[in-house]
Amino acid sequence: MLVRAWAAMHGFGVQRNKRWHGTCEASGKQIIRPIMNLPHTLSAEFVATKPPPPRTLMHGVILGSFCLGFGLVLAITDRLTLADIAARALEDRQNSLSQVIPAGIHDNNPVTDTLLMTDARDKEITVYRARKAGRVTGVAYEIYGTGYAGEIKLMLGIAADGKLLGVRVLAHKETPGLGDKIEEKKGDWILRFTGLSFTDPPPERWKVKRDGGQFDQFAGATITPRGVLGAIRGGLEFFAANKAKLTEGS
Amino acid sequence: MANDYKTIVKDGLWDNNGVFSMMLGLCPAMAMTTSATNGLGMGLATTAVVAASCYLVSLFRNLITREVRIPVFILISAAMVTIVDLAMNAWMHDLYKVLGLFIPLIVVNCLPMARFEAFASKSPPLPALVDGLFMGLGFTLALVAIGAVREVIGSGTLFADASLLLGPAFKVIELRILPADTGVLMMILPPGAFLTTGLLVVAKRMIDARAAQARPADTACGLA
Repeated sequence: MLVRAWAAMHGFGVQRNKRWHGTCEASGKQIIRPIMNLPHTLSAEFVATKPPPPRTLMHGVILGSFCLGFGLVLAITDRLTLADIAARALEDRQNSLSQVIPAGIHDNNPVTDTLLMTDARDKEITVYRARKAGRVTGVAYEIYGTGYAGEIKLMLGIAADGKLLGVRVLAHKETPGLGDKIEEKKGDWILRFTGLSFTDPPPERWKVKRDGGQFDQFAGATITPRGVLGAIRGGLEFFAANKAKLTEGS
Repeated sequence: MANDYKTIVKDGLWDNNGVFSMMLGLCPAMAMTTSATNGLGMGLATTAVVAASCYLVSLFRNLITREVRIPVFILISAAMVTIVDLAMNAWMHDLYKVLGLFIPLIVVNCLPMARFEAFASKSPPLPALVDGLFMGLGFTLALVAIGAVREVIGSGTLFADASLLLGPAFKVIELRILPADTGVLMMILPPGAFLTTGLLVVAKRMIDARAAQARPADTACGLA
């Protein structure tokens, strides 16, 4: 039996009832089938008639123009803010450098006195050098740890003799109110490393207490301090392995 | 007209509160409320985005067809979030360092979508702006309430680090309620968020039920 059905997602009642609507040509009876049935399962000789022309084009044009419009707005915003954001980032770097390199040990600008190195894992590291009267008195570079919710980025400052000048968190995604106590603003935990070195305490003690090391984790967060300590240990190893080059001219 | 605005304000802040009545935006409401200050920051950032995007949706409401409204709404709120993110990074950098974490999360908040669909796409720009503003403030209120309960029980402080968000003048509202290290850690962790939100919803419903009982003629109010 030939069934000629017209089926479309719109028209009377189709959308509301979620049914294919059609008529049996022989008997003139209406056929209504659940929309789950594909048209060709309604009948072996099913011939789908073309649905009325959709307004797809108009919707496409509307959506496209909104995308274009807001894309333009975003491009303009990006262009307007680009220079300022870069300037703020530079200021931030200057700030974080000044926290790990005391003003007393240098008379140059460490932000511009850089050295590009690669670490043991072939990752590029920009080393900022502090000099006094031309002699390198300390270096600072970014180190990375794996925290609870992603990467923790820190700045590590180290004197030419291998003693830590300081460690500061630059960016992290740790739980606010819990893991964020590694920030200097929210706790003094990060200050405890100043004056220590790769041999004091020995490398195997550069861990949180839970892992057999000597540093306190803080309440509710072990993974965050563990990540920070791993990063510092890595940073100290990097210094130990490249001491000659890093402190060249000290 | 003034009456309409009064209803909008009341709806946003209490009767139809985004978190406690509509149960929308629960993801940021629970994830970001480890302290009252975090709740406040997230709430204010959301308010700015909701108000601005409600206004835009209302401006464009006659251009947007039914079929493509959802992608256009998402586009508008995502664009607003990105603009707020970039602008704050460039020009309000200190505030950005505190709030920056929260801002991208606003995109996944259902509250703006709900307001676009239920109100902004059917109303003139000004009421839409007021609605977005007060829905956002109601959201802020809810987040501060959840954050305050969790912070007091969880870490014993209230509004800790508020001066980082609001400026040094607000150092005075940073309170220590319980002695250090006596907090119930669970309240800071995710279960605390669920417990607090649930109990606060119960509290709100009880207040509403009591109010409705006191005024039997006005039963529709608050029970919705």
